[in-house]
Amino acid sequence: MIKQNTCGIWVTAVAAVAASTSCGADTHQHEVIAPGTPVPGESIYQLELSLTDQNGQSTMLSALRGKPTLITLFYTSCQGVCPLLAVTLRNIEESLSAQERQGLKTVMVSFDPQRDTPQALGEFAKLHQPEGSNWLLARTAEDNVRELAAVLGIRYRPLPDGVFSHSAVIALLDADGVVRARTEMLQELDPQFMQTLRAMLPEPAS
Amino acid sequence: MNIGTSTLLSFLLVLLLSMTTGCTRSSDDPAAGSAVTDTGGSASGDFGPPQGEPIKAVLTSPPDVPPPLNRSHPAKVIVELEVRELEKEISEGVTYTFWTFGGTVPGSFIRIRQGDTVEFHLLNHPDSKMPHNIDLHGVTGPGGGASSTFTAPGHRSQFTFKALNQGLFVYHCATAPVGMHVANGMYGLILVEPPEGLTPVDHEYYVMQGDFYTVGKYREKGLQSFDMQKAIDENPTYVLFNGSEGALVGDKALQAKTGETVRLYVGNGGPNLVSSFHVIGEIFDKVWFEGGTRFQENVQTTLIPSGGAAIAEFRLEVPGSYILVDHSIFRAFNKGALAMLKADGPENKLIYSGKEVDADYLGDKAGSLTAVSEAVMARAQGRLTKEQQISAGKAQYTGTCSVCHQGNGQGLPGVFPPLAKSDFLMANKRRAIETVLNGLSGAVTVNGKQYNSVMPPMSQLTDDEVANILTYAMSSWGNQGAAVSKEEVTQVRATTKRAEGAAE
Amino acid sequence: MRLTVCLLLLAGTSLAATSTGGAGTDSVTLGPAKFESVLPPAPGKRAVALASFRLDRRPVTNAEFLAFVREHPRWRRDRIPRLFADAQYLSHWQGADRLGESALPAQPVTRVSWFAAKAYCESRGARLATWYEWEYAAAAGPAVADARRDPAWRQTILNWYARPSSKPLAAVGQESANYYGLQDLHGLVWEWVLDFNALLISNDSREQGGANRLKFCGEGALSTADRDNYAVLMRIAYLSALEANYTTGNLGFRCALEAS
Ligand code: HEC
Ligand SMILES: [Cu+2]
Repeated sequence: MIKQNTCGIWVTAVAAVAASTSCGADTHQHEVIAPGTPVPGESIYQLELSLTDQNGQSTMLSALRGKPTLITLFYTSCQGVCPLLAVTLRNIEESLSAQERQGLKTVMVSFDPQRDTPQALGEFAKLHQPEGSNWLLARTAEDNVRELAAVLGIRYRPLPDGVFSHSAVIALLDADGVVRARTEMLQELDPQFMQTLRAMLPEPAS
Repeated sequence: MNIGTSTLLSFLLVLLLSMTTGCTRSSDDPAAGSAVTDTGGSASGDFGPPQGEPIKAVLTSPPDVPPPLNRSHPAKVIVELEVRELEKEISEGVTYTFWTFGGTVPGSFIRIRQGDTVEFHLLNHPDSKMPHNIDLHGVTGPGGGASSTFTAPGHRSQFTFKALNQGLFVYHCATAPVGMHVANGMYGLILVEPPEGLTPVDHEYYVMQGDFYTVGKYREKGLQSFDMQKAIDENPTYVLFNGSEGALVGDKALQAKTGETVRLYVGNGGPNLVSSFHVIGEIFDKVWFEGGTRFQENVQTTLIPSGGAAIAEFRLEVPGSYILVDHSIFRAFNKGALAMLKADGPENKLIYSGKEVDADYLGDKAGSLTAVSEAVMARAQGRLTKEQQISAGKAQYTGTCSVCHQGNGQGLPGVFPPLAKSDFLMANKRRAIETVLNGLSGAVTVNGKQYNSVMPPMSQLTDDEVANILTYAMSSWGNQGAAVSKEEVTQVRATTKRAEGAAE
Repeated sequence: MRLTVCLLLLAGTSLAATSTGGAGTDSVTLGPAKFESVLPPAPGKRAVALASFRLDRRPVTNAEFLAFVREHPRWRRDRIPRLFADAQYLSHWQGADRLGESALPAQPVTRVSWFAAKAYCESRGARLATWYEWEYAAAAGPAVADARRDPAWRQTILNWYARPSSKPLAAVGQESANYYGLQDLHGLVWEWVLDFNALLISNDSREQGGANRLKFCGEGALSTADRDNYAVLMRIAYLSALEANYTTGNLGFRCALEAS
């Protein structure tokens, strides 16, 4: 289904980059799939899996199509690297202009669907997302986590006592869901990753 | 410069060393130390972004070295290295599955210039069983590229680095178990030329030592597999230059002419042993020890650590066969760490009066094996003649004994005693059989000259083979002896004890 | 590298395996069992508890996979999205739904991605085996449930590792069965496991538990290297070099099932 375009200039910019027909950066809902155009073969949106976000809303992963997206896997009770992942996502966003930020989505999917209820996800989001951002924090069925981790090249293993051992990777998807960059650099910004990201975002108006 | 000569008796080999004396160093000599400033290391190795079109690196198989770069600007260099797992000969009649960078042990030689940006592609052939990666010691950055290049069979990976430090560096695989990947031959050399290049020489060669661990004993025939316990015990079955016992001998020996300067890029892949690299009969005029920037002059033996390298340069004055060894000398004579450099040219009796030795290696195996099988058939039918034994023995001698005793039975003066007209050989048939089966060590006198070295036991040969080889040796090069029968060998084998570690 | 010596015991109940042969393919029931894995399940922990499960006797063959592809054409090599399989997927088959001469019906299917293997098992109401299940089943020798201390057994595995994969593969089921009646766990093809991306070995095997700890959240980067187990560790190294859409000429799979 198609949502009304409501944000003028961004739409054109994003559409140009991403061949997408929608934006909706100002709403909480998820973006709209470009109708008709098939998803590229390498796109992670080939995965048929449904996400439940911090508001309890369900959406298909492929519905994220439309904007460049930062995506990572984490879990809220993680004491080690996950808060750093969130800090890194935040740092990335804060290094961008307000305009660039609007062209970008940030998605964190939990390794731990059992304990990461919408409420837990919501609290984590509130704690970490920058002012004015609408991060999507979501959980999905265990087997889906495995597939999502597989396509993002993330290694993880559940340990006893609810701990997950996992590699900390932030992936950059283009508007069609193809992984264009990955980084394992935490806190500091990975220059190459940022370069690829900036090239995808709308030019700041001069 | 005065050249004095002095004779040095090493504990095993009598070596003639020419010593330089009264040599003074000029103060701008880079080897002089305090007078020179350093090169600045990695901090001074960045000459800016790559210029010009990307260049595809020339890779060479050992013992060849890619030509000098003669380039005055930093470039983007593309290196494509393919990992292949290959069954190859490690010794005569012995094969081993090597894991290689580029199909050879050591792997392809890579040559770049300091400041170059290298786009490195690692390809793992689809036929590979194992994943592999590469750690280049010439890379600045954690793991030297290993974590960026971990590659499954049938896949490829890529990473880019800037070569900030000049020098000669080892590269190797760092996949678990690392020691095993290295022991299977996964190493090679990358030369990072200084910006001004290296002084031209007549020949550049690539030689790399490695230690190998097989379940079977030294020279035990057939396909041998890796022995982890021996590797952990650091007890190699083979210590080799360029991955095979015959890699650099006979017609595969390194070549040069007198009056020419040779530069050897020598690496040591290990995994375990440190090499005491030495060329019998030569003195290195210069050694860039540890592959670094400074050179030492007039060096007899240079130490090359496992995972390290050195550049050795010398001018050849006297023709003949020069033998490259690890001077931890049992490795040379009992585990294979032996290679040859043949220098052609006119004699110069003023420098060396010795007799030149013809070190021809008759490597023609195809024809020779017919003789062997004929002999086997004939014996089975009870009609083996001495002539058949001689032809079969000749073929087997060529593969087994000629590396040391030479194709013409003359041996090498001071190192390997002659078999031609050898009073020792001809005096006692039983002793000759024992020598082949059980080896020989300690002082022996052959034709009035003393030898004090070690011949490894050859008990892996069958009784037939020993009989044929000795029949050939005792009826060739002026020797006139009787045939040696298989039964005589069987009898000696049954009544003597095998050396420890030798095949039964 | 941290060396942890781990005692390998297949403790307890090695129930003689029972043959069930359900779900269309011949399979065997194993466990429940407690055993010691090369991969510690948690820091300081050794024993892994396995619920009872069923495992295919043999790897999946070309013929079986062909039937699957015909029934589920989205897994044909000319339809599958790159996300799910690389360009070599089933490339040795003569056509998208034909085997041809270089893919004999009884040979194990290879050049299949994790996604394809997983989909195949799911189509049978089964799943891929987990690493622990696979390791447990493959620890058996011909006559004992745990042959991992037997040097001769280990050597046969290593000999297979040492042979490049340039020769055509044998048909499945040629090798003699192990203690449980399972065949070809060693010596024919590598096999996908469900949690191949859970092994967490770093791409540079030397940094396990080292400076790069931060790369992995929580303890548990693989930090074991019992030298007696390097045959198993090499399999882990192999699996950890894979991505989910990779296919190679010597990588196949078999399916597992919860025991009912
Ligand atoms: C690795 C080098 C090497 C190989 C290969 C080798 N030898 Fe020797 N051989 C020696 C050395 C060194 C000696 C002298 C040992 C000593 O000084 O005690 C020797 C001594 C001998 C002698 C006694 C001295 C003489 O010259 O008569 C005989 C006979 C002999 N070798 C025969 C053979 C035969 C036959 C073969 C092949 C089956 C063979 N060797 C292979 C190194 C070798
Ligand atoms: Cu390797």
